Amino acid sequence: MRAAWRLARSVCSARPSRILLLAGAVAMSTALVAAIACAMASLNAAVRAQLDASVGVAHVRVQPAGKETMPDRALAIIEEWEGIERVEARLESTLALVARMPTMIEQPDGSWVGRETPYRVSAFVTGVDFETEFEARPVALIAGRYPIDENEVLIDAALARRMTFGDAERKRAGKPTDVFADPTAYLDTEPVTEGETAPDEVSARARNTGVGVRVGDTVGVVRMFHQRGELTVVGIAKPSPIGGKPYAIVTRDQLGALSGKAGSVSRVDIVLEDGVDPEAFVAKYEEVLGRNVLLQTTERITSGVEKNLAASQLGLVLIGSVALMCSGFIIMTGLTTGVAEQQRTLGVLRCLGATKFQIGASQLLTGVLVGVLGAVAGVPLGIGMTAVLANVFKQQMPDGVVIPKALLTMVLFGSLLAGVFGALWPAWRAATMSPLGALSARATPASSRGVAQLAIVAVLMIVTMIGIAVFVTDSQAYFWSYVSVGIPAMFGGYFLLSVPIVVVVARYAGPIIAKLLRLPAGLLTRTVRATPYRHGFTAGALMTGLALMIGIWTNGGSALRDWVAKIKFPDAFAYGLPLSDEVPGVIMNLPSVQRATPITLANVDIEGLGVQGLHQYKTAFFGLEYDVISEMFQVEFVEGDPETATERMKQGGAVLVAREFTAAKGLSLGDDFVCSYQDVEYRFKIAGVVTSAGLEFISQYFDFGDSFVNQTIHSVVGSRSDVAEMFGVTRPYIVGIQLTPDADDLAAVAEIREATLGMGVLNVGSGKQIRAQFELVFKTTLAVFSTVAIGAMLVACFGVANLIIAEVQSRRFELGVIRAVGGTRGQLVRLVCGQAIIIGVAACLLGTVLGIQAAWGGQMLNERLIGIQMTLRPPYMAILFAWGIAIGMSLLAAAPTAWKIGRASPRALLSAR
Amino acid sequence: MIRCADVHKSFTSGGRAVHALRGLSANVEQGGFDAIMGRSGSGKSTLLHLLGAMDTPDSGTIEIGGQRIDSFSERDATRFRRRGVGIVFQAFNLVPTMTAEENVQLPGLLGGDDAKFLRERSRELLDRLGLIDRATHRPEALSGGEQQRVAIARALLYKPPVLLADEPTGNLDSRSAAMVWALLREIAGEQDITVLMVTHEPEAASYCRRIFVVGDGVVRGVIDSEAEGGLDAGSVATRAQRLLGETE
Repeated sequence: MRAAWRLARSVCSARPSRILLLAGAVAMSTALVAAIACAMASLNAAVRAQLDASVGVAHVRVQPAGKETMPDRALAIIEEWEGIERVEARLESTLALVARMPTMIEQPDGSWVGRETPYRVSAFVTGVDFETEFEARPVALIAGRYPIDENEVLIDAALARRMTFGDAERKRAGKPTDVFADPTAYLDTEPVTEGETAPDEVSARARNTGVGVRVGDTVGVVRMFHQRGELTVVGIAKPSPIGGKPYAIVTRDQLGALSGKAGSVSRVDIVLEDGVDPEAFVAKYEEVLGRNVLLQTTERITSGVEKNLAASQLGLVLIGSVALMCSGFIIMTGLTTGVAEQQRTLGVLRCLGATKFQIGASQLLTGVLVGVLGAVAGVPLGIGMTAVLANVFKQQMPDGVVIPKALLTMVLFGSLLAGVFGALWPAWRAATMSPLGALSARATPASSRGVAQLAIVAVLMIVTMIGIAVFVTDSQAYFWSYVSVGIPAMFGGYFLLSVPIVVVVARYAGPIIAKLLRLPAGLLTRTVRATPYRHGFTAGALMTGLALMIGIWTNGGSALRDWVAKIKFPDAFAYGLPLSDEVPGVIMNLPSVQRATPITLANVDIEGLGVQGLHQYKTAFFGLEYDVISEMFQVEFVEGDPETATERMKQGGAVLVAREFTAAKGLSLGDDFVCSYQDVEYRFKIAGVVTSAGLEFISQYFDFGDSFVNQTIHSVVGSRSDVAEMFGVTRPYIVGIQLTPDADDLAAVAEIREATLGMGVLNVGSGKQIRAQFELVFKTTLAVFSTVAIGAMLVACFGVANLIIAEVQSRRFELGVIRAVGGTRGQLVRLVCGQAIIIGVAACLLGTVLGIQAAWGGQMLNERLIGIQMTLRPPYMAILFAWGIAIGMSLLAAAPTAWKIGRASPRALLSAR
Repeated sequence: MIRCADVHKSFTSGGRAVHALRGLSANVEQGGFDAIMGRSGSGKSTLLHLLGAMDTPDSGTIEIGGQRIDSFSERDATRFRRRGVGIVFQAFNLVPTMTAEENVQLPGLLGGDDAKFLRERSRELLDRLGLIDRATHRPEALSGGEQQRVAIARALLYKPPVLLADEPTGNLDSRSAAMVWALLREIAGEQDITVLMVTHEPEAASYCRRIFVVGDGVVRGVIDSEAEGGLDAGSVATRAQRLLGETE
């Protein structure tokens, strides 16, 4: 083994830059996977933090069934129960707050002066016991301190953002909130003072960026159009990481007085003593407080999210496997090239008595070394990349980078495996080389038979994935076979196919490229075709990032076009938790409103969506007046018709289901829709299958964080009476609003907001705003994923660079001869660039088809698991853009070598032999 | 035809400065098959590279056919190498992915010359050198001697006034080598081309008209074999040794 190790060291020291390039490829690949692992862990930590803020350390939760509050005398009963360490009671309500702050206002004479201006906002307020709350649920503060006194309030940054000049402007303009921007950026600017002047609009607007609530300011509390009290802001908390209701915290008594809910609690969280089993505790006491009160363990509340977070790890394993497989192929190409270059040396060694094992082991050790170097550099680099992300997305990753040690250890081992996997083939080739054959100076061309055989194997692998997608129709079987066999076969197949494709590209596109580069056609094309494996696998590595980008844009575009864009939202919505009964009437009386309909909501448990054992979803059950569903929400009936459905729903026990249920669960008109709520199973007859009314989007738009925690997907619509009778939910959460034809939606939204201040309305938005917000989040997410794809292409660039260097090195004398017989510097440079272009073009062809096929497979997965149906329409402009990036990157990777070879004199090239 | 005056050339190798030529002067007449002979490290290959405009001297002048090639621009040097001189190397002359015919056409392909002319001229040359049946074969299918003949055909593509050969038979067996030397002498005689061959073999030099003996970066002396009615390898070796030994 010592001899093998010495040989490996000699290989590495003879070509240090090439080894470093290979290690660089592994490092980049490892960094990418490590960054994704850390980012996912950080986001998951944010989700858990959000859950903890809701659940805290409580083991059991007591809350009213179907109502907002229960009498606080229940506390006295609960406190008598055995096994309790601590009881935390909370009251929750919506309050309207108004902050009056000086703002630069344009005067009639054109000047700008600071004048007191009201900023009104609805907030979700929690009343707690200050003495125990922050110990049990510490809150990270941006400014100030925790409240101590009755008239003090802690607000979160999202609420603070709502009371800024900037947010008010965005609302007036109908722009969506920039959820990625720092919500308390205004604190960096001095506040405007009363009477302050500004010379012009530009400087006035600049000063207004500092308008917002600060520690020490007072906010008024408005209820039913009257100011009921004042609170002093003593602290500003960090916002919920994954979004959610803007909130404030006051004492329970204070909230009771301000909201008119004195003597009530919204829920009671119980921390049990050590050794007390929560399930047993619930079983013992669940009947004591009566049917109107629900007792459940907090594990039941969070189990769905925990399962789904765990399931997301599977995605990481898949991404990691593909990325590391890529770097394995780059190593294989690099080391195989090295073996070919060292052929004579290896021949001499064999003639001198080196064993096959020693020769092969030296290659394996080189691969391991490359893997180790890559891993050691890549993991810290990945953590660093995530740290940069955490700095940009401070809100979404409030605890900075979370380092998942177990996952990163797996990534480390994955890198080593990539090195070993990549070295297997070159090790075998080196070991099985005959001594005399290796000493022969003549290069043997690649056999076209070998390339053809490879093409057959590749096609078989690709067809395997297609076969799984077409013939395995059961959603669960499809998921597991797609993930374990389909995806690896597809990626592996395209990797292998890269070799014959590069030959085809060299043959048919090569002459065109040579002509454009003013090179003799044979010189360029035959160079590539002489070593198809190296060029092919390098193209294969480059294709992966491109395929990722195209797959993401194809499905992202389809989701926007076939799903979000098709939802016809009503003109406007009002949202509260819940709303008071007067709200629909108040809205209805406004001149710009044609119709206002109250909508109730219960999140019910369902089976059969997602992967059994991995996912656990709920669905939103909306209750509304059945005659408005098709009129106000403009849904289309996929099965059934509006008249029959309305009649059936009037009788009760019937629902309209989103068509995604048909696709995912095979449900049809007349079938039973089964769900459970608070452990009780309910059956409804399906009266119609409809396109989405977008109601689930509404609750996510207004309350993304808690919607994510609830893991709701799709929706069903029943009558309000069914929701009240079966789930006990009587008060509406949403009011759907139809405006008059001539109404301006932004002005109407502002009017509704003003008219319903203090009535429990948390937010009001227009259908257009909601659509714009979702599109913004979608596009931002697409952009983030695209950077991952570009990162993958960057990894492959190391492979391209390594190949070009190896090629030029091995043909140095030949290039010198070309210069000696009259080739120009420019021709050599263009020759090298031509090789890079052929690799790039092959990668583009492969990556495009792979990306589209992967998008198709993903669409099949979505349809079978969660019923979302999309059409496959590749985004041609985006594909062309991606092609430009890929070919550009390939050229960039080859540029240093091309430049170097162009500068070398003929003598220098000739003396390299 | 070829005039070198006080040519100096140094370069760095392995961190050390190497003074390959130290004021070399020589005149080579038009036509004829001449040799540059010397021991390893004497500067003969460096001289050939300078004559082929593959490098530039540090000082001194080099004239070929009245052109000062020591002051060529990069563009002029490239053009000169394409059309003004033919070069044959010891080994690895040919582009392995091109056929014999394409290798002969290579200078013309690089210069974007007319395809019909290149085709006709290359076939003419291959026929002249007895390789027309091997026109479509790649280098790995040709013997060493055949490869060198293809290289010679390439060097003659544009009928250059000078043909430079750097140890052209170093990798060949004696029979193939003799064929190549005879061919070079024939070309020099028939086509009035000045053929200058770098060699360390007295047997190769014995085919030549004049032998420039190079040592320590300068021409130590010239052996005029033609004037003496032709010398055998032994005589060449003795005289060369004397020229190199007299100055030591």
